[in-house]
Amino acid sequence: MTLVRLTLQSVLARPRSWVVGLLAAGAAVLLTPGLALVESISEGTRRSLIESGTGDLQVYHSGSTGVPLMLVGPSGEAELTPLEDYPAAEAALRSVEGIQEVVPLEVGMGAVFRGNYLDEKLAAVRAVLREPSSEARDARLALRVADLRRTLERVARDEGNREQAFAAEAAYQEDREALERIVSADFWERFAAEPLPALELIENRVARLAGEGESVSLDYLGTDLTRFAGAFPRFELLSGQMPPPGSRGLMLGHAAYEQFFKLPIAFRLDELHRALERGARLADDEGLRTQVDRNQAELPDLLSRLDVERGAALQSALARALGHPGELEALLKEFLTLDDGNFDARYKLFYAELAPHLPLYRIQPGETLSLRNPMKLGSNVPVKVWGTFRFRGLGGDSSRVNTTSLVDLVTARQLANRPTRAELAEARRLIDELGMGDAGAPATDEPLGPLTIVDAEPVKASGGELVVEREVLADTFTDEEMKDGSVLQAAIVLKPGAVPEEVTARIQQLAGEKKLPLATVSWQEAGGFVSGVVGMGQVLLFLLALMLGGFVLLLSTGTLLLLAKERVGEVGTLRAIGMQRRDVFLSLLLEGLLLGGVGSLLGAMAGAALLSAAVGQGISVSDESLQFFLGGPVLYPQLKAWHGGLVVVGMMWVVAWASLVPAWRGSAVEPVVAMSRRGD
Amino acid sequence: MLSLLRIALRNLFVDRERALLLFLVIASGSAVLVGVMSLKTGVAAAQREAARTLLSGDVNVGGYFKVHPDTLAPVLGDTPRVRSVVEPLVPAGCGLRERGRGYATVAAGRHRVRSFLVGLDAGHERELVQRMATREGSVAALERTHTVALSAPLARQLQVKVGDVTTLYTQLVGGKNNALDVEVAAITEPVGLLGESSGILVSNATLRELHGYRPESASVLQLTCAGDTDVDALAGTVRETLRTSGFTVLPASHEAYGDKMAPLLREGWAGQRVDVSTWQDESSFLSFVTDGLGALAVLVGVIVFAVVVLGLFVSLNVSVRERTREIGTLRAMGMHRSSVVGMFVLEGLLLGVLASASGAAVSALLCVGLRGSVPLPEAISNFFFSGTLPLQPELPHAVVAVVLVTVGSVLASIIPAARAASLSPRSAMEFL
Repeated sequence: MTLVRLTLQSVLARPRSWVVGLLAAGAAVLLTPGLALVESISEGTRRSLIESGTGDLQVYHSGSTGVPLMLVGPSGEAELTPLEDYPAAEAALRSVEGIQEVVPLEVGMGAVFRGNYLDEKLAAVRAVLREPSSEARDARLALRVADLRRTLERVARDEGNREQAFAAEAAYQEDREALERIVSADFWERFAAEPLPALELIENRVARLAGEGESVSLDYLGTDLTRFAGAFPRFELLSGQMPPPGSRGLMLGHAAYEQFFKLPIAFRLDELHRALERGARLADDEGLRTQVDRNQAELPDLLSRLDVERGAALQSALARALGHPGELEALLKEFLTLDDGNFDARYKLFYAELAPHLPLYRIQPGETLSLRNPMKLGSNVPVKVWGTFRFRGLGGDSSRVNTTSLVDLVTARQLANRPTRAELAEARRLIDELGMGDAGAPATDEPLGPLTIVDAEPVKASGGELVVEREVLADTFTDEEMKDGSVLQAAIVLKPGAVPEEVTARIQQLAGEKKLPLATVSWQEAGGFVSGVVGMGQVLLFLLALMLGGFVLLLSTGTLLLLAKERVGEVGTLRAIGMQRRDVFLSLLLEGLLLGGVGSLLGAMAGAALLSAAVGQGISVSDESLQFFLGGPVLYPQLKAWHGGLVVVGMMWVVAWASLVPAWRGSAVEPVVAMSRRGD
Repeated sequence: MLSLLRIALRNLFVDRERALLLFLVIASGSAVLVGVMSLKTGVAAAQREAARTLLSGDVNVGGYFKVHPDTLAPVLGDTPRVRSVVEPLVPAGCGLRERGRGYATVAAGRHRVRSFLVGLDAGHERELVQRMATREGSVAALERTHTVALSAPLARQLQVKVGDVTTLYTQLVGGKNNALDVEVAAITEPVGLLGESSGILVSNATLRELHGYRPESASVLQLTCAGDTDVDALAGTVRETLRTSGFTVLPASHEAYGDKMAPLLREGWAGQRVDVSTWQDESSFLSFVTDGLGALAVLVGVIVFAVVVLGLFVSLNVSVRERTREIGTLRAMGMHRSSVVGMFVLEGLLLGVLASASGAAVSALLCVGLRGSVPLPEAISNFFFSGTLPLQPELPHAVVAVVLVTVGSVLASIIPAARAASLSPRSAMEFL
């Protein structure tokens, strides 16, 4: 007690010694908000991942060469061995204490052809042809046919340029000759008389030349859609509906819908809007001005997609917006002549007045897309688009996480070229019947095992070209079909309060007891690159804390040594009146600890106050990719007691080390030596 | 002035322990700053080298071709005509090479990976090909047709070695798939984040065959220059010359060629477009690493500055009190106030210069010594584009550290010096 009193008196009597406290306070002022910010970012990323499909843990086959990754890496999907008897594994997992939900998953890279521009024109002509005959219908048909003819002339012109970049391909020669015939005046005279056979010829010959149109990437998560939507709180249905239970279907991610299927003119306006909101100016940016020019250049394409009713409605909306009547194309051109002064108003008018009359998206809920997985080199799988969704608070039109779409498990297995258990059993039966018993049990997308290439004379087929196709998938599936197949991984959502490490241990114990081939990874590992970046942020903070701690250590040691030297006289007096060297040492050490403790405590409080004053209302995050890291559009740095506590303890530890040498040296003074010198 | 310098120097040596501790603080601050800047420069250099080896020349003249508005291929159809315009613009000391660009899936057994495809002419790029580090085989073997060099991460995923046959799959314009069997000729060392994303090297001829391009086409003409060529100015000149020669040239955009493809696909034109870019544009998706390290260097600079100012301020304040008698004596002997200020400022300046220069020198030597010898874990080496710690100290780093620390030292000594100068000889002598 005496020692504490002595220490307190010494500290209060020497304001210069407060410098040590000041140093600790300075470090704490920096480190406390720093720790709170880094931890808030880490927590934001954790919530983003866990609440958008990753779950707290992921389970997969322990024999896999890779580990589950929720974001497809640059070289493709992780290589996972399927869990063949997933229903049994899921039932076992559900019995583990602390697990709230188990959601089967399959991460896949998809691609989809949107169809070529010629297909749209052909469909438009067919639609008018199906209408009952009338004067209005004939007028519409004439417009559509004229547009189709212009388009075909363009296809012919474009085809003529193909060999500027591509090697001549004999396979297309017949189609090219057909195209030459189609763009002749004779063909269009025949078209007027017999439109349907003419359309068929165009579809069979020319559409092949135009190709399948633009291929867009559509990364997907194969899952039980209903369970997925219920398990992850950020899931938000934006348009359409969820597929009814037992229906195959695709839910498009909102960002994928916007980026790949939106009318290009509207998408470019959105991009311009985002760029101008970031502070860019049309006057200074050639790239942005090119976007404006591009929108005007593509007006004929837009006009050709409008039917008469939409065209008339758009024309009157434009006349209202611009304040004067005119031709539709001229009005649209005027409307889309944009500069920094009129952009904001025109952008609002576009969505308020014009968008309702435009075909804003190329695909609508209810239509079917032909999906394939380019990595698996399998066949195309038609799947109905039921709606669009997003993960709430994780960015909008351009966020990476919202470009992921959801597809049912049956379709996902088909895309991955993975056989169902029934198909496997059939393959085994055939293997046995054919006497190929040593071919092994097929389990992957190579049902008959690795292929062996043998040089041999080709055998002439007796019939036409052999086409091997898998059975066409029905639009619905039974519960048995859903369960009758393997699953690559499953997301585990824990009950509130459950400790992930404890649940992991229980799963491992269960896998050992029941001989289940189960392994687990945490959300950090499944997050891959994303959680890696956050981990680097934590390492960086640690290194900065080390550096600051080192500086505080050196400066505090220097200051305390100076103070110890000044106090030789005082220490000598204390020693002379009977104070033990150990007590002097402890008193000086306590002095350092007190200064470090009080200083870092005040520093941590000041840091907390600064943090609260600067970002108490949260930090608004407009960058959509950052929103994923920060857990939403606003980052609320959460200062917790342990942040301050850790900083205070760390600084006290540093100052304690800094006090050791000065305290030892200060206590080593002999009374006789000390008394012979003048102290302060 | 000389006498002031002598006094300042002597004062530093009088209390060696205090001076040594301050010296250590300042020197280590300067050393850390030089270390972080060397790391940033080393990573930037490694990243630039990787980008210039795989992705880009210093200036690139690339092409995009649309047979129909809904298709896009990264190719310059009439490469000889573009070349005839660009060649006269190539500055002395720069070279011109043809490269291929594409995207493919590689399959070996049941394993598949995808990556950007880089086409090169190994016969014309012998020097670069010999410099490329490999784990197995040689990139020079790409001179043989139907061969491929895979980066180590891709080869590991595919479980292939040199001599194995793999299949390259790609999607042609119009949606058809094309496949080509190729022999693995080399397995290259991973090049940071590009190891997985740009991990397939083939000859230009193989790339043309895979994508169905005409024989004289290339995807991009790359100008490679030694030294500090002003790439932005050169790119501007090339862009304007191509425009005046009748080519439709895309506006400048700070994006890699792969990132430009999705927006270009939305555009309704058909035919050829030419695009001029710099190596910074082509590696823009990697700049977050060097931007982050740059921000770290600034943060460390601010902390070092604050620590130096605070440390010296505290120390000189104590020193003024300790030396009150000495100041009194000097003032009584006729020393002016300005000289007292000068003496203390000179002490801070000397300490700042000597310590920061020593710290910077030691750090630079350490960086040179450790360069290439500290292995990094794979996750970090991907971001740093090097298997070992890429440290590249340069003279400007040392100059920045010494100037920053010295300015901090001078600023920190002004108030204690003013306090010392404000002591009257009488009050100071009263300490005697």
